[in-house]
Amino acid sequence: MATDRAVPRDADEFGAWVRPHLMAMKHLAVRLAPTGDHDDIVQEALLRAWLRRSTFDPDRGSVQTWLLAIVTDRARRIRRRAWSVLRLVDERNGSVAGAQPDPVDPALDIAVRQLPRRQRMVIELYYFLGLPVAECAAVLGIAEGTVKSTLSDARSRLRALLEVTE
Amino acid sequence: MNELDRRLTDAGTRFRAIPQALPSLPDLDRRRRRGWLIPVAMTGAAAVVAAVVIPLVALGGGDTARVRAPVTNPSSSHVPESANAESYAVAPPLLRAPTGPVSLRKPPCTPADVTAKAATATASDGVLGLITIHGAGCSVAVDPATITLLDAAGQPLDVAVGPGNPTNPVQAVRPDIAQGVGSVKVGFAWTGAYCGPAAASVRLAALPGEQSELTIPLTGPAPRCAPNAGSRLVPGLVGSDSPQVAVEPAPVAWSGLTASIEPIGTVHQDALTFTVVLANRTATAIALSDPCPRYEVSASAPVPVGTMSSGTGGSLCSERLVVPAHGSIRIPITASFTGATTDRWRPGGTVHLAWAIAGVPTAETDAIIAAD
Repeated sequence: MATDRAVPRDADEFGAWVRPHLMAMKHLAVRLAPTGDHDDIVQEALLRAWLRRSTFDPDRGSVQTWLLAIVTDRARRIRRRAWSVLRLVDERNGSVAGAQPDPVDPALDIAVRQLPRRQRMVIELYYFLGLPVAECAAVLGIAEGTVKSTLSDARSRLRALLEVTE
Repeated sequence: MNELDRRLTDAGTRFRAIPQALPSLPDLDRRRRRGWLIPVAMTGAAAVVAAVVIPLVALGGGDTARVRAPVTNPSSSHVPESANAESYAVAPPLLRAPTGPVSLRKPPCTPADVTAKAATATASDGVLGLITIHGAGCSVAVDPATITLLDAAGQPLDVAVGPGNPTNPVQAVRPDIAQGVGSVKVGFAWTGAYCGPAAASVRLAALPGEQSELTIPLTGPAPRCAPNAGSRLVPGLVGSDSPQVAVEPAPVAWSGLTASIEPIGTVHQDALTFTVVLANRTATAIALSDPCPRYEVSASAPVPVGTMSSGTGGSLCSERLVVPAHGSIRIPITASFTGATTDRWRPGGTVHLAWAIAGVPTAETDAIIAAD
């Protein structure tokens, strides 16, 4: 059985290695590409991970953080390579049309998408994927302190965007 | 925990609770053996190779043995679905080229690997058909042009196969991926009136290799019987069943519609709002239900470096829209960007907007990007 410390040698080992993290990869891809490219992103990330599996360093983070970092990179590249995404808002019932279920808090969703990239990423990883600060830092390749300060900045920006006063 | 923190935590918890299909793993062994791990820039070449090789494999044996696939839903429990349901929606034309990695191809399905079902739903002109095929860990090769309706004795019904609405025809989004992962749905329309023997099953080429045909029991209504009236079978598309995409062809009646976008002065990139007008040139009301259309939207505008094209789609299935004779309806659309904030349109530039449903010419307009 593959573990975090054993880089897989063949496709079967690779499958066992990444399988526990597929849902987290899917969740992040859905958050970063909510209108349909997420399956492509996950597949590209898995191919990338397979090709570059020898570069995985367990001392720098877990398999999950390594895979999520690849998903993040693939999502950014797909968007830059091809299309950004328009999200349709159905004014008649206030819902957002698209391939994914309606967001649970549309106003919050729109505000999160307006954040600068790093702020958005820490919000996505910390709140929407539920990762602890240390894993957010490993995915983004930044210090834990930077994650905390970026979270604080992101919350401030969200308060302004959502006109939340506390 | 303050209000914003609670809101974020709650949104995250509820997001993670939304059921998501588990991603499948690429077939890495097969890709490695065949040298399919190629740069994305070469996917066009890969597609050409696949297009040449796959038909040769499918036709090689010349064996057309009939295979009856297992049925996942017994016909006795079948409840006909409304043709206005999303699952029967008319596919849109594509305003942007599909992107993504090379298709994922699993081992070819054999009949024993496959479950399938087929059903019809009453439409405004006849019925719509929906065939769903699932291969267990294998690839299928469905060809909608081969769909044939059979009676209880397995004989083809006297139903001509013909083209549907030729205007702005429906297009499929990456059918190669759906076929490769073996989870597809296929649409067809059976239009007009029909008085012959009942359709008991549907046959189509669906599997790679020698035993390519499946015969699938068909449930649901047939077109009404009217003397001296003909009927026609219009093949639809192959699409993904998970996530579902629209696969039905457009009704011929929609060719009586024109689409336009009301003039827009300036647009703001954080809230792109415009109104589509569908006008009926004919003396007969045209329903956009039974079936309902999915639509595509695209916006193209200059950004600080180059031009950015963006797009998405939606459906008009939540309402039973009817365009009155010689009248029109207005459809308000609002969109916002999910792209990076660095991908901003250049203020003062021109954005080109397009909106399309199948069977109706695409509506297009230009607007000036406001300085926010």
